[in-house]
Amino acid sequence: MRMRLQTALLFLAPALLLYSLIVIYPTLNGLYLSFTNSTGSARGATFIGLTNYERMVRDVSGFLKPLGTTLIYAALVTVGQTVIGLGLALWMGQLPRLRDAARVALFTPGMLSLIIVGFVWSFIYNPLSGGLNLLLTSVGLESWTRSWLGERGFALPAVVLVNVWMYAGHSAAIFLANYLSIPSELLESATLEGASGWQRFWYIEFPLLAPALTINTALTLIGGLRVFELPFVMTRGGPGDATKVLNLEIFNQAFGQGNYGYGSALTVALLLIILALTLVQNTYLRSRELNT
Amino acid sequence: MKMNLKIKLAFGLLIATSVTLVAAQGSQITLKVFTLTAPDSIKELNAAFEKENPGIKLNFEIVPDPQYGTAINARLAGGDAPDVFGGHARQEMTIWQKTGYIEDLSGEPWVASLNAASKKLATINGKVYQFPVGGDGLGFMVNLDLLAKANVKIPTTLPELRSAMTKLQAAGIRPLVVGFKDSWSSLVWSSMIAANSIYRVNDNADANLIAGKTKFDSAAWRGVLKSMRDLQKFYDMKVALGLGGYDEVKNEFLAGRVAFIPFGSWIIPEFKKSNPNLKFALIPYPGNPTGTKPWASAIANASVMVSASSKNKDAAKKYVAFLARPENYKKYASSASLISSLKTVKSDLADEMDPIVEAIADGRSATFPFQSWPGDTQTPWIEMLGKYFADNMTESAALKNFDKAFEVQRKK
Repeated sequence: MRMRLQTALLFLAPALLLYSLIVIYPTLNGLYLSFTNSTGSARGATFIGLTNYERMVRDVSGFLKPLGTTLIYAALVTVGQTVIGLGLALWMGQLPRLRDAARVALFTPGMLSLIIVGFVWSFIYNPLSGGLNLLLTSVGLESWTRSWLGERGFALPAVVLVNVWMYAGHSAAIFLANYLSIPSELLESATLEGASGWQRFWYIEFPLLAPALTINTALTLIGGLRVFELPFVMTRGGPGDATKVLNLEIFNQAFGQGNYGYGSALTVALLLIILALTLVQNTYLRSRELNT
Repeated sequence: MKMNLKIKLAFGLLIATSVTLVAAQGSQITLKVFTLTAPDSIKELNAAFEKENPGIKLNFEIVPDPQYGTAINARLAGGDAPDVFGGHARQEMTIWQKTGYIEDLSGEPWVASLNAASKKLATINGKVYQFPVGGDGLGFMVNLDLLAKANVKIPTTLPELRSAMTKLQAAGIRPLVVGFKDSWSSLVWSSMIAANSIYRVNDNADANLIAGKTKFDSAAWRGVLKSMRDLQKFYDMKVALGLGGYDEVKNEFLAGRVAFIPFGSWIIPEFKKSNPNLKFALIPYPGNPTGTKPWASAIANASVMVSASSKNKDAAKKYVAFLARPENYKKYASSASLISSLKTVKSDLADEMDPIVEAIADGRSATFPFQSWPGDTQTPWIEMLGKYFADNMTESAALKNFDKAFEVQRKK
């Protein structure tokens, strides 16, 4: 029996209404705000056209530099998390007895609150009484101790490391699911043909893990570009502006300075950048999947 | 079946009681109070308020810093304003008054009792918008045991401070811990230095800045920044840049691992509770030249405001008036170690505050400048100091950047 259009719409209406209220309306309202000088005032806002966007492209410290930091952060997280996640998945794939326990253990950090994790790692990185420096000192590596979040060259990688620590288990779980679906005959015949471990990985396993690679890199890239909580809690964007990512600036403009209009314009720009990069990445990785 | 008269009466009474109860429940107001800080005495005061006003029930919530600013701004912007809410002295009040979030409280009975400094802090264009719950002193928290161990006296001038820190360092004691990661330390420390170098000799320093007659890129303000950098051999700049200026610095002091930290008097009850064996005092920052006495920096503590969109404005105002009533306010201020904001009340303060209270009583204090400057100048000041320290900028280049930010706020 075919459902009439009106009946279908009737069933869809509650979900569509809810979606419109909590997703479409705020998105459109945010877009509108980006064309105003809104300060969150009860007295309303004035339409100012593209002024916020013109200001943005000239704003080195408030847009261009934070954007650069965000891109570097996202790139480091994507590469780090994918490589480590892949390594962990291959390791778990070869240890069936430990697999379930390892999967749960690796998945756990990602289930914790980002804010809590940020505070905990701030204490670990504390240059005076933090666990990391104490550990290094106790194993005779005192010369390696440093102010992890206080030195320009180390602060961003230190935050990236926490992000990777949290979510490498997620990436590993996705890779593992894909890895377990590879026919064992393929790997066995490669071994019989004399392929080394590396050759087996590079010519068989890695190409067949293409779907997991696409999903993992897409999710990680989007997460990396949207980063906020960890730098907010751990560094507040410092030292100087070494870890000031775009979302920190958006937060500062909107909730610190009350510039909701400009903050919304920055948000729209970030959204478009995320969409563009994800599209390019997905197009490339999907075509790679098809070629495989 | 005929109903007996007694049964009829009992039935009628039951209905009447039920109606009265339902009506009473209907007139019950739940007053939402949302703030960033409150002393231990608040439970007792809130209970007394509810007892005195049976029709009002308090929904009291504290979200401490640094989360408070985010939480209250999100609630205000989202149209979920609490009936009564707190702020940091003056900075948010000026923004929220412009956005129409807060109620004019000029007609309230406690306004006449505010001392001059508090009234100035609470006033915009002749109207009072908040009840400042008291003042705090900013200065150096001193670990007296560590000073005694190094045979060092409490310093009262800058040369004495340098000498004391040199001796402490020689004795293997960490002399000073500051945290520039969140810039809290640099913010309060710079205000203390300014109190001793700029405001000590120039009453009109802020008025001239606000009028645009003087700039921050001047010898006086360059001296403030240079003073912090000059003392870095006592605190290690890299460590400071990787350390949170509030919790992490506070924890080092509480653990007895450092002789001096820049902090405020509100933390004294917490210190006494967390480490009763710690012998300490809060002194005015000895950043003054030889032959003079040190100045304290005085900062207004939290303040209380009423939402302009509250449906329970009368009850909200009643609650604020209750807190400001002399016998209640004394309990509140004494429990939080606050310097009174009312002319009619003198709060009981901890002995550890004696040096700083003496300085304030002696007229040797300057208001925390961010409470006098227009709009939000604190955020750009923090950003400026962060870059000054992390990027090794010159004082002039850093202050030129801040001059631009200050100009934006001044013209708003």
